[in-house]
Amino acid sequence: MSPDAHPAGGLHQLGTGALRQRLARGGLHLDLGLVRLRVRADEPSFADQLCEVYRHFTPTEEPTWSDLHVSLLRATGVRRWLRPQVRFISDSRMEFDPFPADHALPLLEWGVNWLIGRRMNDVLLLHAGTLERDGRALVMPALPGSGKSTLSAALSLRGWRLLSDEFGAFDPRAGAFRAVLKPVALKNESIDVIRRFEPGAEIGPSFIKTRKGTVAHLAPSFEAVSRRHVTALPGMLVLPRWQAGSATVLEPVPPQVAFTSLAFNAFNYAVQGADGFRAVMALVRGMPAWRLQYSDLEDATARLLERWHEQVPLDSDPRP
Amino acid sequence: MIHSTGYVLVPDVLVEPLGDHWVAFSPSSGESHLINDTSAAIVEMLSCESALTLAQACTALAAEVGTLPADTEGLVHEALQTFVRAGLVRAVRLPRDTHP
Repeated sequence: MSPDAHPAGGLHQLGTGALRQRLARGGLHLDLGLVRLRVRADEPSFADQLCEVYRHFTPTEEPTWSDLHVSLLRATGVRRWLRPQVRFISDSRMEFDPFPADHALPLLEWGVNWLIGRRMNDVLLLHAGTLERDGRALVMPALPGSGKSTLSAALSLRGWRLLSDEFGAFDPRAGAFRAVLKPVALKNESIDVIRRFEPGAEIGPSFIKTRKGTVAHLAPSFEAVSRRHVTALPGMLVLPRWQAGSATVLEPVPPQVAFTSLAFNAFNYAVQGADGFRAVMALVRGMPAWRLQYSDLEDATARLLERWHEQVPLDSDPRP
Repeated sequence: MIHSTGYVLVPDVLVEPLGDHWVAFSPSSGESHLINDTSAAIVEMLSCESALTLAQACTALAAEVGTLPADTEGLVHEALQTFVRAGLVRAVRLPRDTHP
C-alpha cells in the first residue's frame, strides 16, 4: 500500500517522542509537493507543534534529494536560561533574527516560505492562494492583508483541494499548477473566523505576539496531502480583497489588469525572463479573471462556486 | 562627421496584444510594460527597420494614421524616451549622411 493511501502513519500517529528523536538526529523529511524539505530541530516544544499542523503528512524515508535543508536550533550561551530563543538555519546560514523558543513553528513556516520564494525558480512562482476543483486551479494572487489565506482556508473547508495558501506554482512545461502544500497561516481575527466557519477545522496552537500578531495554522486535509502531486490546469483567476462590512462583489476584470496582477505578484517574474512573460500571457489568456470583494466567507465561497460552475470548463477529468 | 540620434529596438523584445492594450517585455530589464496602440505601432515600425530617427518615425507613424508628421512629433518623442527608459529601445548615433 502506498504511504499516501491511508492516514495511518501520519505525523500525528508517529508520536511526539519518536518525532523529537528523528528531528534531533537525521532530521525529518517532508514532501510538500513541489518541494522536499528536511528539518532538524533540538527545540523540545517543536515536535508537538509540528505534529498538530503536519498531522496528515507521512514522514518519508531518507530521500535521495531534498530541496531545502533547515535546522531550528536553540540559541546558546546565557540566552538558554534567560529568554530562550530558536534560530532558523539553512545551509549553515542564519537568515533571520531568532524567535522565542516556543515560536519554532511560525519561524519554520516563514523561513521555509522565504526559501521557497527565493529558490524555486524552475516554476513561475506567484504569491497566490491556489486551490483545485474538477482538475482545475483557482488562483488568487494578492498582497498580504487581502484575506487570501483566510479565503484559501475557507475554500479548503468547503470541498476545494488546497494546493497552497501562499504560492501559485505554475509549471510551464506541464501547463499546470503544482502544490506547495503547507499549513495555512491564519492571523489575528481570521483564526476565530475560520473556527466559526468550520468548527471541525484542524487548527494548531496559537502563537501570540509574533511580528504579525497572533498566528495559528490550519492543517491541510488528508485528501490534500495524499493528492499533493496531482497538478491542476489553469481554471479561474480571482483577485480577492477582504473589506469589513462589504457585500460580496464579484466582477470581471480586463485582461491587462489580470496580467499586471500576476506579473506583479510573481516572486520570480524577472528571473524567469521571457519564459515568465509567456507563462503569464498564457495564464491570462487561458483563465477568466474576476475581482472579489467580500466580508462574509459563506457568501463569498458560495458565489465563487457559482461563478466557477458558469465559467470553468468541466472536461472529463483533465488531470491523471 | 555629423551624427544624428537613431532608435533601435532591443533584440528579443516581445510584444503581444492583450485586450485593449499591448504588453511589451524587455529582456534587458526583465520587466513588462502595458502600452497602447500607438506605442505598439511605433515598436512595430522599429522592428521592421535597423534604426529610425525621430523624424523618420514621425513620418512613418503619420503615414499610418493619416496625419502630418509634425503633428506626431511630441507623441513619438515622448514614446521613444519612455521606451529607452523601459529598456525596449536603445538610442544610437547614426551618420548624418545616411539618415538625414
